[in-house]
Amino acid sequence: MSEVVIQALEVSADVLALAGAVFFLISAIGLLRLPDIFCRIHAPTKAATLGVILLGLSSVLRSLGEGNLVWLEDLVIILFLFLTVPVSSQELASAASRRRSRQTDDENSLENH
Amino acid sequence: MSALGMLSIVTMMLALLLILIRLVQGPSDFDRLLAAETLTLGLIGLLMLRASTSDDRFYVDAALGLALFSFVGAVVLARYLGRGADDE
Repeated sequence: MSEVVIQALEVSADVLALAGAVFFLISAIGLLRLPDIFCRIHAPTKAATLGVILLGLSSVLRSLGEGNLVWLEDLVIILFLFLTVPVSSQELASAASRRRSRQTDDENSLENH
Repeated sequence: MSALGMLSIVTMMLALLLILIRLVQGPSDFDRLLAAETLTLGLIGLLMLRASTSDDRFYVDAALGLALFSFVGAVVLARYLGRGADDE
């Protein structure tokens, strides 16, 4: 690969890494400041996944520039996160809503008696 | 390492610190589980960043293992916390 292409890959990898880190920071602020659990699930599942995927893409570009095969493993991680993060957060949200509905049922039955 | 790479590592660590605050104070179990899950996500990103900006390529294997196992743990814990009298 020519020197210019390697330089361009390095610079774009740096920019992608910074963008991913900023997205992750925004999602962490959201996790800290949003009022209840159903709002808080929303922050990490979208912004944090995007942030981590951008970090992985920057790693892909950098290893392409250096000419080693780490980018294959990075792609596997990205694909796996893309598939599993929605599943686990859906599971968490349904568990939280099941517990909340059980608690409100208990309160209603207490009021009726 | 370039200045931008250093800046992104510092930003990620700041984000992990904020998530740690939520993990410690988080009112319900679900908040703590969500914070732990996000912490793992951030660690995966940080490990990939570290693997690509330094000479130690094997950090990316740790990120892959973390990605595989954190999913199982999160799903099992969420099912355990959300179980009720009606589905036993």
